[in-house]
Amino acid sequence: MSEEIANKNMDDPNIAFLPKSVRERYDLGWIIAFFKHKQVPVHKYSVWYYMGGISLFLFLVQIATGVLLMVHYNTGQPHASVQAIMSQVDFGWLIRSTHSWSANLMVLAVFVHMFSVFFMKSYKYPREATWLTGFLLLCLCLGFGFSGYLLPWDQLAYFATQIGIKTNEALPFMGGFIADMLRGGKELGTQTIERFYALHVWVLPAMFFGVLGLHLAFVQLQGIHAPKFFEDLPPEKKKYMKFFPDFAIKDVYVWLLVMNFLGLMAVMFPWELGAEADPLAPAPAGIKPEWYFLAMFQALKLFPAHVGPIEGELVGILLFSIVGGLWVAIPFIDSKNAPAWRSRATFYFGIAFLVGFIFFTMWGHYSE
Amino acid sequence: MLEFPVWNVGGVGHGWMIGIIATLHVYVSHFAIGGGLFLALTEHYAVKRNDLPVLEYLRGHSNFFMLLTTVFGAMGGVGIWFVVGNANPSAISSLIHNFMFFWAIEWVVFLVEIAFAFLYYYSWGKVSQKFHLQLAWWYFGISALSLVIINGILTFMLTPGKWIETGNIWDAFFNPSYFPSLVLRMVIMASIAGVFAIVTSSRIKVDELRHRMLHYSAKWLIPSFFLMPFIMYWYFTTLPENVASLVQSGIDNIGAGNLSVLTRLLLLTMLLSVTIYVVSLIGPYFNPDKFSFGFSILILILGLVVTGATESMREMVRKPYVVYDYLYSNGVLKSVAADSSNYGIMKHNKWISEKEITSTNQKVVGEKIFRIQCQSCHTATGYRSMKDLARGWNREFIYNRLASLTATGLMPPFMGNDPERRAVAEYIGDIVKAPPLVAETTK
Amino acid sequence: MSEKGHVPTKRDFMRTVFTGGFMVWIGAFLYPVYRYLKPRIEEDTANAVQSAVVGKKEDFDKIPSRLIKFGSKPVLVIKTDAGEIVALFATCKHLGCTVNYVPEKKHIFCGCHGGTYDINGKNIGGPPPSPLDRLKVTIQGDDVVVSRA
Repeated sequence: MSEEIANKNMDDPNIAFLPKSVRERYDLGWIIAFFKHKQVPVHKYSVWYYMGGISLFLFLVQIATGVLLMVHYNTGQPHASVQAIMSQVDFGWLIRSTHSWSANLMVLAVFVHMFSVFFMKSYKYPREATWLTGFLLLCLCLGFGFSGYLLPWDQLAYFATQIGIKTNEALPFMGGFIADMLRGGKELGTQTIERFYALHVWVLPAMFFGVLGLHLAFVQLQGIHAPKFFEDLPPEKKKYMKFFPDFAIKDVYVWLLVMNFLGLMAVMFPWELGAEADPLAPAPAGIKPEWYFLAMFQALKLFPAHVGPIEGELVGILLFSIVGGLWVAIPFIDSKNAPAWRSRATFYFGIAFLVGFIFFTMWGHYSE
Repeated sequence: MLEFPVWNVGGVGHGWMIGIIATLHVYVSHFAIGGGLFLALTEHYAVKRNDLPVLEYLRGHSNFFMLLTTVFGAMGGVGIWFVVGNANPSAISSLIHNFMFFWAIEWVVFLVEIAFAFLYYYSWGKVSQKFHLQLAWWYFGISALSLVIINGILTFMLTPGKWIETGNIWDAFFNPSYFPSLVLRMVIMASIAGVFAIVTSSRIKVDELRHRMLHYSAKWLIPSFFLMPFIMYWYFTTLPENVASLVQSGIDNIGAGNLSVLTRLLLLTMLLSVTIYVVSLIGPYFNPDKFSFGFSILILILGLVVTGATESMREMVRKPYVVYDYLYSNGVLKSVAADSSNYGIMKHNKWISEKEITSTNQKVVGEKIFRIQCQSCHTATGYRSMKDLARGWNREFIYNRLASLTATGLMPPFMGNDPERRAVAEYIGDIVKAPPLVAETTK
Repeated sequence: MSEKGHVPTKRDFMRTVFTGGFMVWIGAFLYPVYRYLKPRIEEDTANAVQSAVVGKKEDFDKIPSRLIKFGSKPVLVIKTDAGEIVALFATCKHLGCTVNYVPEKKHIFCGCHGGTYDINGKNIGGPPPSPLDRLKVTIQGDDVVVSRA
């Protein structure tokens, strides 16, 4: 058998670049053949196909810089160790700024990826599972953002996290329990950092890798989705490019450009570190969460203290949960045999969701 | 906007006005020289091999080249004169007085250069191949001469060298960083020519020719990538301050303020250069069939950002001077600035209509003095603004701070006398909404 | 130019040149990471403890040996039968374990692999390849001061 593999692989032009010693031992030609066989549809919306790759690239940057930050970060002296990273460790400021910028750009890229997938209706049969895993990845991303934001332990981090957890506490039944589990007590304190750190550097990444593996496997197995107008074209008008090497090379260009943009931001606008968190100091005016939580934060402010017998916050959270639930269920609402009106309604729901998200984020940003 | 003799551009500030125009101009004018070499050499090879498609491409490329360099490049040059003359009249006056004949020669050379650019383009197919090729070489030679001259004036500003003592114009022209800077710019020019050629090549319709020209154009980036590190090192050794220690201070500490900007710009320059190199290596050089116009534009933009970063590095090292160790950025000679508190801004700037500071006109005069003294780098509420930099300061602190600006290592001394200093402090105090001073301290 | 790959073509040469340049630039990328991870050794030697008071003279009458911390390194201070005070870095020359003085046998013993040294630090048995490093001992008034030689 091994003779057979060796003979087959020796002549396979796909893996001619590998050394002989590898080719005679492992049957690898099919991998390259698989990627060469894979095709990317070429049409006017092709540019959105890069967004997933950009998110992946930024995730890899997060891993590399995150591991480096772990070397000098100390949960026992969170603020002092981050300060040392910023002012004593060689290139520490660069690594931290890159990590923070890349985190924000990654959340942005994931959002753009999600909406582009939504409007191309890529979630439809048979790709429901890809949508679901994608949604999970978004939640994990936000979890990364929330847990990582506290770690430098400065004033902003402290109060933003305080607000975030308090909002959770309003949930019925589970709220108090979840909040206590996150905080490691009744109050937000240094013990919370240990928990968030464990989440941020081990639990979330482990989960992320698993879900990401599934997500990518689904994409590879089912191929890249093409929008309906493309599918309806006569076969001779359908243009494709090979995933490997044509699309892969373009992906490399795009990654390089993203890396440059990241470098530009990290170098020209290094991330700042505020004064050490002090629970006794009054919260600085106009405290706001990170931009990706801002829409929710701003929308919550609209609810009155009480709606009938129920707390206003709670109504808000329930409403968000319903919208979130609908968003997850989209492939099943706009399913394979769904009538046209349902498909249209889904589209308008998406528009409303996007417009609402942008509107509340802007409002939150510009309000005092 | 123009309130002679003080120019008020508002939010972006003088620095960015000069920065933006100068970066565009530098990018295009380096292309004007490097592109000349590109045209001459490429035409030389094409004629030798009688390669008609390449000659046809060159004709189109030279149309683009001529339009961009003579229109945009020349306009940019005029723009720089306009902005610099308004933003810092004393600096430009000092340079003109010193380099009178060099400027004159530069302008003549520049006129001849433009004439040759037109001759070259409009004589395609109308004169013999041999003569046309000679025109290309003439164009390149003359455009290179314009660099040889202007380089002396540019480098003088950073490293005036022995001129400070001798006052000899040749010491000023052939100053310490003249030769490294000249070689550096020559090498970079070839790369910029390559980048622009990649852009025009990617528009060629015929596949075979497009691939060939992309591959060929990418080669123009090679020299700079291997020589740059060495030339940069040579250049840095001629700089006045110990640049190495400045760079080191930015490596471990972001808090070093503006000094760390130098390190950051250097990092940015390296990152962007690597990307241009890698993209043109994977793309036009090895896979010209998979390279599109869109990506070539992105390379072009990256090149522009690198140009901006390197030019602003040069500005950074020079602080707080416009002409190093001679003329401060607020337009005052170093020799005069030694006695800064007795200088008197109102005495030396006759156009300030108020002749005396009273409690009623104090803030108006304060703003006028701010414009004269501070506005070549700062703005009230825009870029490098007082609003941000003096946030949270009280009026007494601002007043004291104005007396110790040189301690930053980046700023010239404030030249006002005591009442003038108080007036500016009041003006800035209003910008940051500081509480008014109590009566006793004002009197 | 030639048949498959025996004589390198110009393109092969360019490929090598490009790859070489590329590797150099990758190195430039990794340099900040190297600097970030590099321990600050210079500071360690510059700020290292040069001398320390290890106790009063009479302390050693009761207990003839003690292990003290000298900067970040362990130092063994022993009073010999002759009344002389000896100070040695207590790091075994074999594999870096911390050695201890055995008063009954009047020698220094390493628990890891059984290396033995005499009271002056000379290696007399087991695997250690060389004697322990000695420090200078001076008596200033009543204090016993140990310093780098």
